[in-house]
Amino acid sequence: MKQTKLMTGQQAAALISDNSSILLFDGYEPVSLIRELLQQNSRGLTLYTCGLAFCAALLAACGAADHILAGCDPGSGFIPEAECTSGFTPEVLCVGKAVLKAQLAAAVNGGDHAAIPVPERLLTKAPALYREVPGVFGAGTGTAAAALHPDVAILHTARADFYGNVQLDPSADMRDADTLRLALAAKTVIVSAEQIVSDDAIRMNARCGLFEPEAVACVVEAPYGAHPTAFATRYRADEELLRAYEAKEDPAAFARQHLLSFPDQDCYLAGLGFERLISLTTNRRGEA
Amino acid sequence: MTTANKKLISLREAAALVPDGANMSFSGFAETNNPLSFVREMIRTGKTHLEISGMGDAQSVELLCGAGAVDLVRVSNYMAKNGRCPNFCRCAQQGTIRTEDYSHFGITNRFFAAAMGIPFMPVKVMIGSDLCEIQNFDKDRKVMEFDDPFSGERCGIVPRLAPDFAVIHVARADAEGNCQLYGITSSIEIIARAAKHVIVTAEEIVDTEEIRRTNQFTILPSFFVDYVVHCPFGAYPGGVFTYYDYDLEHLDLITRSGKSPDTMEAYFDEWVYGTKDEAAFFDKVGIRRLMDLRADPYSGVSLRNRRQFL
Repeated sequence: MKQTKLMTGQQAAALISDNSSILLFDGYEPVSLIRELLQQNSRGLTLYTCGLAFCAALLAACGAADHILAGCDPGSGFIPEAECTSGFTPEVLCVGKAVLKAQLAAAVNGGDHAAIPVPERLLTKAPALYREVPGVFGAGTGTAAAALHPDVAILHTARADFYGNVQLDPSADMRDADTLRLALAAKTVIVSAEQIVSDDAIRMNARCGLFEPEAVACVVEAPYGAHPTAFATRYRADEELLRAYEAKEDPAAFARQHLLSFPDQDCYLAGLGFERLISLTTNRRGEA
Repeated sequence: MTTANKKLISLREAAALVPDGANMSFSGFAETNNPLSFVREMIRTGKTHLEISGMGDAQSVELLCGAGAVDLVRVSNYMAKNGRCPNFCRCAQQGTIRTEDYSHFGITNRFFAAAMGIPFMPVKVMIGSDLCEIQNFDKDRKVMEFDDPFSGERCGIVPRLAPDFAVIHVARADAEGNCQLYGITSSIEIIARAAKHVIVTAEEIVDTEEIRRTNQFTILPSFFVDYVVHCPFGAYPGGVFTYYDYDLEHLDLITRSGKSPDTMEAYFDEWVYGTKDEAAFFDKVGIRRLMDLRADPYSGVSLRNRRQFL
């Protein structure tokens, strides 16, 4: 008898304790789960963001994150501009996407580090993670980045079945899958999905597979679960809401009013309304 | 015929094209592919004296009969998931609508003759039954028995039937009116080809390039279509295969409401007149409910609706 891994957003968020380290991916933003996390008043989180994650900015703005290791360039996207400003919370260290991905890949592959060129500033700012090392095969020195083992990876995907098979849509760019599978560096993988589908549907689109059940702690059905960010195969970003969020001097207050004032995802979607959701929708079924 | 860039219009504009007393036909069979967003908009705008010729388009006719919008129906076995269509039956029994009974295949062949541009079609259905014997407003224009001139076998012929308007609900259309539908299409293509004007309501509007790429699903080319309307969930509370399942609870609500004119009026007051447009209607239905009805990609129907949700 296979075990169902279907949970509510509230149950899934309860799996994440304060002071955890969380891995997030841009373009696959689990906004509905992050809202649950904020409703539970999570604190002291360390975030690893593979890209310009809106969820990281949201957690930071609401005071839930103390540290961000950002896989992007300083000042880009939703990540605060001042990198590692003394006394600024959260403390942000922009390491670039390639370095962060190499660190996660090292963890997935069972190594303790990745041999990768690292910006010099990181060697002094975070010596616990980035070091100069002697060359192994040739003369001279190189740099190494420590493997990262987040406590939890949270991502929003297209489809999952009850048992934890997780897929992208048939219309998805499967090149993203390699990045998303870096979630396996985490001790726990939590997935929200646009739609819970049958295991027959999973088998039908086997080439779209991301994770097998053994890798996944739980799945949550969250239609429009990445809103207000885009989910490439189903809907575009809610630019109006995102622009308003970015323009606010107090994004936490804006988030409380527009994102967090709903008890659950159903109420959140009801608040957005049918017309707005449909206007954002680009592909109802995610089919190719 | 309209030019391509003017074909994509709003639901309100499309409903306004249909005059009172129009001779119409709707897509749909049982609980699938009925253009019910269009029908609700017709009811909101108070259409009357409609003449409907249909092939199993029970859901549309049931609502329109409930709203007192229909004078005459060429009918082929109107049944709903949960039994008879009470509004239609009451109107027929009380004589507020006139009816002419056909078999599905019989009336389809009337449309088929018009679609092919020929005056009549030979059939082997209806003859020898009351469907042939009892002729009301189509007397002498319904079905005629004759001997096959080649074999001498007893046959029937049915005359062409070309509705003024066909309203067709499809899965996807482009702005030019190329239409796609998945699964069983019933007589949709034939009705559309028979009609003088075709209004398409579509779950999704897609690029023409997308239609070309997946042309195996195209059921109507653009030159048959006059207008296109984007109507997501436009067949609700019926369903569209691979998009969403029918909502049996809401269908049951309509059936229960249809048991008397008063309760039907209360239904319309709450759900149709009480919602200013389809967006408001679907807000009232609830986004969660709509999401629950989404079709599983494998079976094409909803796991929750079919109680397969663990």
